[in-house]
Amino acid sequence: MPEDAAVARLRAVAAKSAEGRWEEVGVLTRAVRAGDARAFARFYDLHGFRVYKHLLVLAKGDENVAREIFQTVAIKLAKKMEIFDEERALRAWLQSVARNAFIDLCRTRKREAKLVPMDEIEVALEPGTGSPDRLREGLNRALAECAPEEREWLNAIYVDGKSVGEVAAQSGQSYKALESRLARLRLKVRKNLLTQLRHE
Amino acid sequence: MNKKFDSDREDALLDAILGGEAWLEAEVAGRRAALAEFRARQRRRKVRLWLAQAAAVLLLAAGVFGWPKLAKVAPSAPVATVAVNKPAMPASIGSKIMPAANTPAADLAVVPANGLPVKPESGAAAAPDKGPQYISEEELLAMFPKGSCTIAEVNGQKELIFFDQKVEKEGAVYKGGWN
Repeated sequence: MPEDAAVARLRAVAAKSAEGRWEEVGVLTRAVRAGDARAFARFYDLHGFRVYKHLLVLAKGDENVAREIFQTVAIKLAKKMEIFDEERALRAWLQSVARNAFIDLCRTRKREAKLVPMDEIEVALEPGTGSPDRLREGLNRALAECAPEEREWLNAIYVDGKSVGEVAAQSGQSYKALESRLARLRLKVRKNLLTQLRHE
Repeated sequence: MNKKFDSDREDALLDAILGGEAWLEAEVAGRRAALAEFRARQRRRKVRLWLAQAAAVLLLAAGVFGWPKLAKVAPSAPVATVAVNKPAMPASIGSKIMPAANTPAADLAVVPANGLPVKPESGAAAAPDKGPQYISEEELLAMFPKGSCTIAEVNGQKELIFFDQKVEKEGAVYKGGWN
């Protein structure tokens, strides 16, 4: 069916050009607001993880709570999207949506007598340092507890963008060995980071 | 600038550290829930749109098909002409004529612009109703040569009886006063 193929190709081109336009915050938020499901998926890809990280800080490193609130926030975003022309304003709004969802959850839990004292919530929501700063500080402290070579591997692969094979060759170990070491290393740093958040 | 660069580098590492299974689970569950809500919102929007269109079509249909009926009873229908059917002046009055008491009222017909008849009392611009126009027995008799006819009661009904067949054929002479 050459016609079908042509139509599919045209659709793909149209979708790609639409996605290109969605790089602009104003266009993307307007498309989501207008009910474009693909625009929403793109919005979710771009901003979902940032919201999750913010929730992780609010929930003091409790991944279950962060996951629960994240779902609520995702539904809220699907229900009501505001239009923004600046990325900064959008980020601030997303943080406030996440924060409100977190407060709602805390209040619900308080009502259900799974007591979370309000003063704890206030500590979690105290103004000043934002969630990215807290996470970065926590990461730096967690990395400080790693061996220097482990820090080098992490930096080379995740920051400098080198491949695992390349780093494995440089450090004189097999690809598989480095891959499994990296997995364990990531887990260790994450645990350390979440523990720090919990005890802040 | 350097600070931004450093924070971007740190963010890349942070994403790698935190983007584990917990995030993947949250991502999948959140996406599923959000897209379900998003599609439900789209459905609601479509239903609202469909209902609005249906209502518009119904209103249009009611306007097209219901307007003539509404116009028929509309009190403010414009009155184009007022036709008053006066009792026809008899060119010749037969040997039998209904007396004044039984003469029907003048027929008044108000015709609006669309050609449909409207009751005279409902028309704002209808001609003033003067009531039924009658002539008395004396006036009726005066229309004929004196002594050529009289009014008599036959079978309980008053009738005009002519003594002279010629006068009956010639008919009455109208001198006004019929409306």
